[in-house]
Amino acid sequence: MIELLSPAGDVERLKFAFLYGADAVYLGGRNFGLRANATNFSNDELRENTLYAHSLGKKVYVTVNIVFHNEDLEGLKDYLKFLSEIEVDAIIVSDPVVIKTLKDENIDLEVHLSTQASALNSRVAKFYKDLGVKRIVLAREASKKDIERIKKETNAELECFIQGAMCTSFSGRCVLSNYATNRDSNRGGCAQVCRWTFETEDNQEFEMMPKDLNMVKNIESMINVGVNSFKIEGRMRSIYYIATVLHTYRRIIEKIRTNSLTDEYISYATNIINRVANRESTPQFFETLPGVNEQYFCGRQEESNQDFLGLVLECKDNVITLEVRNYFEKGEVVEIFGPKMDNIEFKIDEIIDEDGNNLECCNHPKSIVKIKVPEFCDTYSMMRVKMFDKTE
Amino acid sequence: MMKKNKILLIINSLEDIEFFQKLEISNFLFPLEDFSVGYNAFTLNDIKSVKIPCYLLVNRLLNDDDIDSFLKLDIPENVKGLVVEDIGLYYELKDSGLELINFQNHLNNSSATVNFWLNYYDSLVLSTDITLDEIKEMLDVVSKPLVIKAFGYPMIMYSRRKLIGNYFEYKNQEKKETLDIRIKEQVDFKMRETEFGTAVFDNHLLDIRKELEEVDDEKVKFYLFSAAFLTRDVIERALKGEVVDNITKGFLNTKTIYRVVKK
Repeated sequence: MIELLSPAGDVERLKFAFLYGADAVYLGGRNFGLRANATNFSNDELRENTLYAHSLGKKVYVTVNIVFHNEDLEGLKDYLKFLSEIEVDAIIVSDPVVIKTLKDENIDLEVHLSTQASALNSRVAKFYKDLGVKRIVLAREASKKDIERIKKETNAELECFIQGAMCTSFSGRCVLSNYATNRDSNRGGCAQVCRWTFETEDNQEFEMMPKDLNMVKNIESMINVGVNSFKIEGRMRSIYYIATVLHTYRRIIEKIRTNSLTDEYISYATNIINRVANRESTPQFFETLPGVNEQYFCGRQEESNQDFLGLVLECKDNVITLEVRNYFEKGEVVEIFGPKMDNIEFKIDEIIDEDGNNLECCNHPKSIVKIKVPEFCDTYSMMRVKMFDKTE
Repeated sequence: MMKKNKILLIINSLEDIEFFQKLEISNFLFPLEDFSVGYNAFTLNDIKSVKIPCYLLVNRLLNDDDIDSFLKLDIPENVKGLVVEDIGLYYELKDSGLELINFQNHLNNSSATVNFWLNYYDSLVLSTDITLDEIKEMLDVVSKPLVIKAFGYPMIMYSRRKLIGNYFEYKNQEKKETLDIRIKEQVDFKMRETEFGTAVFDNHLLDIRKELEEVDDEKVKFYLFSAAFLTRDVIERALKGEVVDNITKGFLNTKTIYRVVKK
């Protein structure tokens, strides 16, 4: 089984995730998840979107992965019963109190061990398998050799992160946020203090922020050592980010399946992903320990890019109806990518607004315009700045 | 004052033992070389040479090769037990006859979680992220006596990365093993790096000796003191019940916050 697993911070992101190739999504309800600042899902939304996912033959995993204090246990039993009743496909858990509650209350739910438990060896996997855990989400620090050994010794279902932000610390083993801001990192309040700028004892700037994880060039190797589920980080990322990353990895998996993955495509995909993430990304721990080149130091600014130009709402007779997201102008060379289409590149010859006027440029986000395109485009495909020469 | 025979002390050097024995300390915890982070570490020969009953601290997260290496060690007979972070190592040692104490920094925050682990372990080191009321609630219901951190710099982050070494490499400067960092005079931390990663400590001494006088002593196996980054003099004053400087109560009287909206 090869599963591409996407974050879904809210209903819109879930729909784009499935559209752009996710086999499954992970998401949080309003309680007990580690992204307290994301919109997350109400119980009604959980029910409705689990049904929606199943209608597509896809899966929903719900995070119940805080480290519980006594006061948090109130409502847990009823919530787990609810998740079982609406038949979510699994819950993602770090605190064993959740597993115990399932057993004590005889609640039927598949359990995945969260990366917060920092599983790095086959013995941990065996311990949790004995408790009935079906899948182990490995620590981000697991190397290729570690993964291979864990698979060989346990034959457990393994899930690994392939893309997105990294904790500086072992996940779950950091409470910098608690000490610096009083926000509890292990209950969804992490203030990402490790990404702040510090001063050393001799008044020099000090930073310890890691670059993002990017496993584009290692997916085949991960498949070969037995990884089953390929997980993308980022429940609070935009639909453009989610679509771009899923679109890229889905194609890589397909190219591996058809034995057509080339170094050129890997290079192209890496460029696309680095650009959308707005941060550099590296394989981190997979082949070797991360060093000086896997971190940022001193004064790095994160600026959002304006590559996402618009969302295609309809395509009729080779004219798209586009919801504008960022500035673009007539004569610009752009690119459209979509769930079921090959990327197309073209020069914008004409922009027509809703009243039939010719425009020189688009500078009103959410405005609707029509643009002629050379080929049919999928509904909900995305127009972006043409950044790199495609290699497909 | 807490009973001296219930204090478990992490020391900095073998020479400390005689000094602290004279202060009636009899329980020592030795961070084990190659298997611990954040503390001065000791070899098995060091530990064997002291000829007193003691515990080993194994607070690294381990891969399979590390566990294989550990299992080849000849653990000296004076080692009574292990204070261990990695569940995989517990899994291998569960029938070893050694006393096993769960040490999952920051993860043991509810009574039910603690009791879950006590089904497997002989004891457990309580998180420093909980309030005094939460500690009391736990001690009321736990099935075995616990270990509570009472004095010393608390470790608040553990990274596999070489955060200090990478920084000095980037700066093209000579590498240090430890580094103090701060955020605008408000919060400051201590870092210590070894080849197994970087540990970050709060730069204020966790000192909850007085508050722990309120808890049920029968439910406490050990009060954990750490001498890391401290001189003997400071520990001596703490053991004598004297006031020391630069302390924090951690979260003993302050609940942490987060944005989980409850229905």
